[in-house]
Amino acid sequence: MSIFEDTLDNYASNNALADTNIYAKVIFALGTMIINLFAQSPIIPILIFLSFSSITILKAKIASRFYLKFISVPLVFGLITFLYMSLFFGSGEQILSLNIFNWGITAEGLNRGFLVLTKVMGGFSCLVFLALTTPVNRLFALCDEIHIPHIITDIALLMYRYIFVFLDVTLNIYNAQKTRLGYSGYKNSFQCLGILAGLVFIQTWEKSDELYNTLLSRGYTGEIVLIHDRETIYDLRKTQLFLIGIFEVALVIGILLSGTMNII
Amino acid sequence: MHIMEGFLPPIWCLIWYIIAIPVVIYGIKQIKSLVDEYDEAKPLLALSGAFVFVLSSLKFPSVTGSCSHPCGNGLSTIFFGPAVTSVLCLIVLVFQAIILAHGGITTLGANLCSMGIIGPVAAWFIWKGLRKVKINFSIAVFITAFMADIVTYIVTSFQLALAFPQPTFISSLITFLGIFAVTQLPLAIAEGILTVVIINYVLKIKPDLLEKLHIINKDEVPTGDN
Repeated sequence: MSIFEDTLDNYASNNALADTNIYAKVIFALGTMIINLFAQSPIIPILIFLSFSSITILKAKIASRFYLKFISVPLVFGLITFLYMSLFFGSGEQILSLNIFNWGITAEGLNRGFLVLTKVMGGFSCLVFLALTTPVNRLFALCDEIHIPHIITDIALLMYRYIFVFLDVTLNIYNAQKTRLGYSGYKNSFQCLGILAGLVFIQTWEKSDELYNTLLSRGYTGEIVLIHDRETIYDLRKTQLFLIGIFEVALVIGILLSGTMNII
Repeated sequence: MHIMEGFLPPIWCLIWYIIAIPVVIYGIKQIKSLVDEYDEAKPLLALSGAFVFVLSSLKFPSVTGSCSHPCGNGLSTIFFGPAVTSVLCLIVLVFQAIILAHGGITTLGANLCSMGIIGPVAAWFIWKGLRKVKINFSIAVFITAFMADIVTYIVTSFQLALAFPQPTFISSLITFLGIFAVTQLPLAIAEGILTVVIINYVLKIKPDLLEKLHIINKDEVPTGDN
């Protein structure tokens, strides 16, 4: 479960862009994501991918190895989709026949698959940018500021905490089982897994109840107060807005210009 | 089943968002009244959400620009019903998109419709129906969790086929369904068993809570020696 390791949380709060105004980051990433959707040719999504990856690695100073590891998962997904679509999602003449079951690669399918692959990678790089440069507590403050109901942010905050409790408890019980010769056979493994699953839920529940009682004893009245660290939308600097605006407009023009240009 | 960022055409992103929003608003209202009425529900709400989060993060690729994983939405449907589940799933999906970059923001509406709305609604009807015919408690839980998972994936297949109806909608749907069926059936069975184990534990330890949430009747509360 390497994806749950605290390195991700670590990067999110210790990177060169962590203190940049959160609105700037969110508008930048979301705007690009939406524009990316409208692309009809792979060119702009590739540009988005390249520019966001370089911002994440060069500006935010995320270790490139970590970034590559992070991005490899969707890349594999995307490549499989690409292969699959080029085989099954086109009509017309086959440009390469596989000679089994009449399967073959068509130009239409190939183009479609490649477009989807680049769009996925383009959108994904925006998401990763957001994921790796924005500490979670800032996001909660943002939710609060745009008037998402308090009950939602509260449950979300508790949930975020419980996820880590969950993983902690799981690891503890798992190690305890291992040291007592658990998971040593087929039947034994199943039994252990059942115990683990049931106990994890109960133990997390107990811990979460404790946590909730702690909150109550410190005067929790159904509202966790969040710190707003000078990050309102009015603190956005004009240069930031201007640069983001130019970037997005350039993308829109790029999409209009590139039209339906394709690899074949 | 998380459809990846950038995978759907813009029009479908919008349509799924429009379908999802009213359900979420209704769910928020329900959560408010639930918490007002019964304060202890809050940790359990968050815990069910965490459960959905952890289970649906255990993904592995299936061939369709999406992925296979257990969903965990059956459990919170049994606990709280579909509307509340939709809100929990919304939070989970936003977390996964922003923290793990799993799923996406533009595809959030579509993912929410499958995992947070249609799957749980179907499971809810199945659950209510099974409880009415007084089938064994564990079996009812198993079938509900199993079906919540399966329906979620069927909806995802529909969404993908609607977005990419090539060469025809039906053939596309069949390919997507076929691929998901291979990876999802074993996962759904595993999730069903897991949910049964968990709910039975809860039944043993905190039966009063299940009774307060109207999941079991008074006469079903196990006595001390159970």
